[in-house]
Amino acid sequence: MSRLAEAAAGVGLALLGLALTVASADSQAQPSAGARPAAPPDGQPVRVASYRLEASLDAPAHRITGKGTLTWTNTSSEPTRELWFHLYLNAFKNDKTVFLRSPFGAGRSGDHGSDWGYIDVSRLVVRELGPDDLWARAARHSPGDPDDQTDIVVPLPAEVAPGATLHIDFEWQSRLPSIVERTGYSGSFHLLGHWFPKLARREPDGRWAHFAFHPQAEFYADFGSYDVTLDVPAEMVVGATGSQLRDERVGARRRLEFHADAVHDFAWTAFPDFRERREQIENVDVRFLYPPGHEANAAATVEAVRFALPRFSRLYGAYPHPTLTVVHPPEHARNAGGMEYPTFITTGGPWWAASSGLRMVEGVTVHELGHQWFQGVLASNEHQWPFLDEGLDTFAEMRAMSARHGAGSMVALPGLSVSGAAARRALAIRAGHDHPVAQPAERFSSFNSIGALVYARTAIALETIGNVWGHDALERALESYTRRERFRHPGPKSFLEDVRTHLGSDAHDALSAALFDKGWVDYELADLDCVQQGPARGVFGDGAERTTIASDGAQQRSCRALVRRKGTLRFPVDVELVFADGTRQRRRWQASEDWATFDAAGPSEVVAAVVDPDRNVLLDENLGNNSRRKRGEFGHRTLERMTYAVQLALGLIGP
Amino acid sequence: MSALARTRRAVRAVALVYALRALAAWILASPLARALNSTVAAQHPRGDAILFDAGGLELIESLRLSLGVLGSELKGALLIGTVLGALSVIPAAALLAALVEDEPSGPAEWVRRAVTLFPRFVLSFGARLFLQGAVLAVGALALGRLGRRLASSWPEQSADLSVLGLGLLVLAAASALGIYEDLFRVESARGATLGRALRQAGALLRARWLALGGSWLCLVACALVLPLLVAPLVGIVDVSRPGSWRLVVVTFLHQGVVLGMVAARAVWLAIVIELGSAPRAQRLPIDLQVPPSGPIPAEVEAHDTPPQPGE
Repeated sequence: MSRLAEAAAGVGLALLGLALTVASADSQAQPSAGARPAAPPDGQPVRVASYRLEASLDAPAHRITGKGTLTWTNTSSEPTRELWFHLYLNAFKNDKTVFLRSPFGAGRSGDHGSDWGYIDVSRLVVRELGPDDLWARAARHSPGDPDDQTDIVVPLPAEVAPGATLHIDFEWQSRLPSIVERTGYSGSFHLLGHWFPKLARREPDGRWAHFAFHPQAEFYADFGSYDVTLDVPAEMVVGATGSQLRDERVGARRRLEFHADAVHDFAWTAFPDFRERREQIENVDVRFLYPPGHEANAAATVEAVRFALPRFSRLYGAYPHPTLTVVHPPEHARNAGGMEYPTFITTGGPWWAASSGLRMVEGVTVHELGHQWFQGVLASNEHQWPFLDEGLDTFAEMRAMSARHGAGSMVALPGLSVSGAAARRALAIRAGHDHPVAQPAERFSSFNSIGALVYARTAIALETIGNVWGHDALERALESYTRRERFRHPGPKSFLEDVRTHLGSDAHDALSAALFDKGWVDYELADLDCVQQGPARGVFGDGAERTTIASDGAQQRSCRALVRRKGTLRFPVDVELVFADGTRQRRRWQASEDWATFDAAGPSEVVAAVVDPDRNVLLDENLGNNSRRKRGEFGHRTLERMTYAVQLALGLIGP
Repeated sequence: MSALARTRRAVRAVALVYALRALAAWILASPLARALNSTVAAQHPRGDAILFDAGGLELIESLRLSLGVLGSELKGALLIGTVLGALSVIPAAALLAALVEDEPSGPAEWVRRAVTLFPRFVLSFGARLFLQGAVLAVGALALGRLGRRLASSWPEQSADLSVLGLGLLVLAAASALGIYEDLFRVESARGATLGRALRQAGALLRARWLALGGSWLCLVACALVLPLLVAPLVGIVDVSRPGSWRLVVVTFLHQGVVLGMVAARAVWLAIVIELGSAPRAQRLPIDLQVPPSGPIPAEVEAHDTPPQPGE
């Protein structure tokens, strides 16, 4: 898309926004008598919750004072007498909140914060429902939890009908915590996520998707447009969701205006020491913000985005925004790294990371960029179905990194390469029996468990499905899902149906069992045996008729390999027989039964056999029992390498 | 003794130390290799070549499956390693005896002298390891705290490089203990009493710290550079591919590194001997061209005088 086309598209979106505003203005007068909302056109966002915010940052105090107007349309089929707001910053208010209290203690970073954070709403007026401050009626705490204030209901004095639109004016003040994860400050660095009162999403059936902020869970919200004015100290370099429309210096302060459309959140960062780099990638204005000394990391980040943005656009539908901001937090704020917001991602790693052979910076960047589709555009309920975002995104990242770097997609050191699939498989197998993958985030016993199951096991299950039934077909399924469900908050069923359509029922059933039912599988080469076959040998007959038939050396070998499949998952696999003369033979096993035998007869003996020789089934719980040979191998290479390692160690500490 | 004879003797001593160290390493590595190999590779048609496949799938799986066995084997290896570490003092002492000895002698004589020196050397080896461990632990703790403090106020690179610089100083302090131990052992090999060897080693370290430190750095650089130089070559040869010649080539490359490191250590010990013998340097056949960095203290001058009663 050219600049001109981009401008034309911008005008088109503006006209659409205007039309929606006019439509919503019609419904303002009669909030209880609105029409049923139309279904969203395919691939187009519906602006349900749009925010106009003005905020001022007191950097030394890490405080934000703000006011705003939320324009919200009841797009559900049911009227409502309440609004649910998420006050996420209250998760860091004290150590009794759902987020901070035992046994969770800290977020995924594992670090405890050193300073509290909170958000106070001081006023909330719904224009259509009178001048009263409705915040005075709001609940004081999350439902059923007097210690948590992240999930607050505001009762309304009148019913809001389906299709009706409200204009909600509010004022608030936020105090940022020291960074635990995703949001907060560290020194003069500020990452502002979840910094304003955020309306929960109302599902089409009229249920509010509201929840207390749990350390293992992420977010869920409606699409809308955001017009945000930020007032910050003049020395701050600011990056934010959306396009920057204005940057004006007023004395010792700066006022910046940002606009973002078809997004469900707005995050920003302010730090005086940011260096900046800009690139035009696929007509997207990509802005890289990084601390001094991170030039090598910035270069690696640019290259990662240059590779992954076109790839993801091709596979999962065009990136729908004109801008992308990639932030590399300074190392002292490392817990702010690795987070995604619409058109705004944070990556991370120490300044030497890009030169270390560990593809940390690139991996994190590609992962967070992938969220622009799975979290940003599809916007599934991350609290309810975290695997739809983190799991599918980890798979997308793994495939992208593998396409770019091959076997060394995670570690590339002289003599040692580790792929993302190999590393994640180890995690996925270890936790395979702990929980189902497809369940709400708060039901997992720990963040490690989420990491192993939601991230790794989903990715490994999909990699297995692709290896067995074809990656092209799997890509088509993902493409169909991601293009059809743009801006529609899909659930798991939609994705699984695409898998059925493009890969067949067997693949659908296997994936479904792996995700929902703790499905597992272990292939085993249980036995390998050979006997000699041919004309009978020995002593035959009695007396004068007794004859002895000796071996003529032309005996046939009859060999049998016994293969078993344990567990609840079924994947067709190859079984390879290796003969003494060096030849190999492959047979296909559909694995619909629990075991099978594979026979081979001929002059050459089968000396080894292996089930799934290409290691397609990465969900296989134990690769150690997949093969069998007549004579075990000593392992000279291993001994050589270990002896060398011990020699080096002795040289280091020895006398 | 002629220079040629001395060189021959040094080469034989280096070969002896290398062989004994290789034997010790093989004894320690065998059970670990067997444990790692037993899970995935032993029954696979390609054997343990799969552990070296790009991507590391089988290697990680082998580590995962053999973690328990490897853990217990590692404990056993640590126990055996402690015994072998103590015993490895003998070849090290033999090497020193071969380098120090002016008269013609053979391995039997070196080993005899090494056995004599064993109690003192094993004590110094243990003490040195303990002190080095203490210095490194205290240094790491202090640097960790300093690093966290600097990280919040200094630019990252400056903070990290400052901590790294201070870390190198900690390493230098730990290395100085190693240098001191070598000086002590040289003096001991020359027949000095325990007290005299301790004093003379300290005096020599103070007097020649620059030359000793420089030579030590060369040794350390050699120990670091050799493996790094060879690693890419090993990657190119790639033992995961068919052909047993690959394993032969890699073995030669690796053993070349180890041999080079043992030889470098022998050269270092020769330098220590040379520096400790500076007043009679003209009598030594090895011209290492390391000038003394300052006047020689009287106690160093007198290092080869017979021990006095009561010492």
